[in-house]
Amino acid sequence: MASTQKNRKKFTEGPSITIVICIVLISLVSLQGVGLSTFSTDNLYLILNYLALPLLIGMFASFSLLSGVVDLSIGSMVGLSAATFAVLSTYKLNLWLCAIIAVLVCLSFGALNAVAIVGFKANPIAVTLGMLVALRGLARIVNMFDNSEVLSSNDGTVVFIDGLNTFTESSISFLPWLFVIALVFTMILQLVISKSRYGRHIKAVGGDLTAAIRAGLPASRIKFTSLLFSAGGAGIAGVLYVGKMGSSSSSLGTGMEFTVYAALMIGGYSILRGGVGNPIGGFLGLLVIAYFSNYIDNMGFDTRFTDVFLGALLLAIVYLDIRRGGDAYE
Amino acid sequence: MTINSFKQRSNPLNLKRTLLGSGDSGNIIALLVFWIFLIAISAVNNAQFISKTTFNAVVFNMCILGILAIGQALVVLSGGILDLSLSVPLILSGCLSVIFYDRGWSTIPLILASIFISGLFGLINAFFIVVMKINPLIVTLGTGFAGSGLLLIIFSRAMVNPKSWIAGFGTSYTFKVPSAWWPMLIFTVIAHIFVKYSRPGRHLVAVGGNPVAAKVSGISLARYRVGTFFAASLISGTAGIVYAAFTPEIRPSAGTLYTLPMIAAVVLAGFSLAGGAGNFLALFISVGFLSTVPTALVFFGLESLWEPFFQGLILIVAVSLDAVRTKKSGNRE
Repeated sequence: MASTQKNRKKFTEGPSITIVICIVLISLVSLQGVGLSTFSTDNLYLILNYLALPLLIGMFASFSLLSGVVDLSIGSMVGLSAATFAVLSTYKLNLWLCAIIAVLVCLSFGALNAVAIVGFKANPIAVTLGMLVALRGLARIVNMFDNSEVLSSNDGTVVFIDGLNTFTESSISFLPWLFVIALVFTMILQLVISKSRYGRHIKAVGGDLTAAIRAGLPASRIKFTSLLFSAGGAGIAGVLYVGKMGSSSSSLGTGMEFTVYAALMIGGYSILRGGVGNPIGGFLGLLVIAYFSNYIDNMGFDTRFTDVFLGALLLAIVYLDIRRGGDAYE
Repeated sequence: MTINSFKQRSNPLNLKRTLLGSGDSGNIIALLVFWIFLIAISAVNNAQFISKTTFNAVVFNMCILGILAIGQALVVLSGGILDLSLSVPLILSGCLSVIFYDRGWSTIPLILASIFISGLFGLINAFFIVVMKINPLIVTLGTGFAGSGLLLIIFSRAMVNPKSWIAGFGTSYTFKVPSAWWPMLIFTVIAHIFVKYSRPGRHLVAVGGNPVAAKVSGISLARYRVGTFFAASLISGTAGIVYAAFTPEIRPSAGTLYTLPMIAAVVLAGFSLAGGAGNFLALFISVGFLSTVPTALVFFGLESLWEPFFQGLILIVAVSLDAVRTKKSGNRE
């Protein structure tokens, strides 16, 4: 009994309740503007389809947020992985091999991040911001090596991979397969973070590094692996994006890191200190953004309004968190 | 750190320290060596590198980046971590100057109004930081998002009239150097003198280095934070005018291209992201170095596509070296 009470308290204390209110508000506004079709399965499919890959990326990246490092380079890694995969596939290599190489490339740059951040103790924001720009540049360079017969545009490789496209676009009625996979992953992650020893270790390292080291936790190793997780997740998502879109545009993933982190912060994570936030909250945060952007699309408004909304909502949620006793900037 | 630098400054005999700042001279020399080395290998690789064209290209690069980096450096120095939204006042002021020109305003009120209005953006940041007590990094992430979104909605693009004074300023020369370079130099000198020798400047360093101690000694943290974010946006607004002088067509999406280089310049110059430490002469040299990289790459036969790759790599190496150095000497953090 006591534990359910504790859980209920946890739920209302976090940002989850605010997010649920947000979702209700958006659906009311959407109902007024778009009409009943906003609740149709077709529309739900659109929302979830849009949400699936950012959710996957966000969940992998939440490892590094929890352990107290922020990896801003994930958006560029999505682009780089997509470019590597698409370009390699134009050389008629085995597709699995292409995908593995693309993910490995991302992992090696993730390891580079980790060496600078964990090994040299450099500032994570500065390091991964550097990586963001470096890999964005590298993705464009990789895209120049494409070997396809299809006339490619100047800044992207066009490859339509039948099997992969079928997989990424398949769905069970209105639930896209990718979304189901991402959601199951979120649930598993929720269990790992809240119940397992590894999850508690990550939170401890992110929450209070000194205490964690004194308690004998392998803090460096935990941080190192968490950075590999975020890079690997971005790598996998990059390959899947190629399947979805049939090309690797150089602008793929641009600004994605900010959208994903803003959504995670709305869901209760923090980019400034580790150890806080939970995967379900992160999922709800992303759901708000996806739902709002769907509303904007349906109404035919300028898509930039999503950014304006995202910025405003981020500030509002963080402010509410401070009012509830979160970290204030003194 | 802060207390140390106060002590050293009060010793008038130590001229080198007084001129260059405490312990920063090593950093400045290291940066200069890097810069000269870059120029030297580029010149050895291709003798034509040493030319008027290269000089002008580097100077043009410095004009905008240099001013923006000063605004960013003030924020970093004051302990505000980073201002991720500085591209908003940059574009806002550029677009406003075009609009005011088209409405027939004369040059001076037009420039002042554009800079001042874009400076107000900094007050919005300051409101969230000081009144609502949200961390500056999150605030500027949010306002940067919302701000650049709004700019893209309001202005699709702004065409600078080639007959306007601003456009003329971008193509004119003063003392054989492009006129637009001088505002950047003047800003650097003012910022250096302000931080090293004026009372508010030293208070600003104290607020960044140790806010608790600064508050106890009677410095109003709120006042300095509002001032810093306002000033950063005003400075970025000034950079917007220089930007308009070079760019026939201002596109709001171009602003974010400057976000990383200006952070790279500040970090490379040895400003501590924890606040309270940094030197503006070092910043000048690091801006010069970063502005030389694109031109040098072209002379090495690499396409301009490689530029971001090297920019990012330089930043990663710089922060790693900086972290190792501060860990060894143990005089920061």
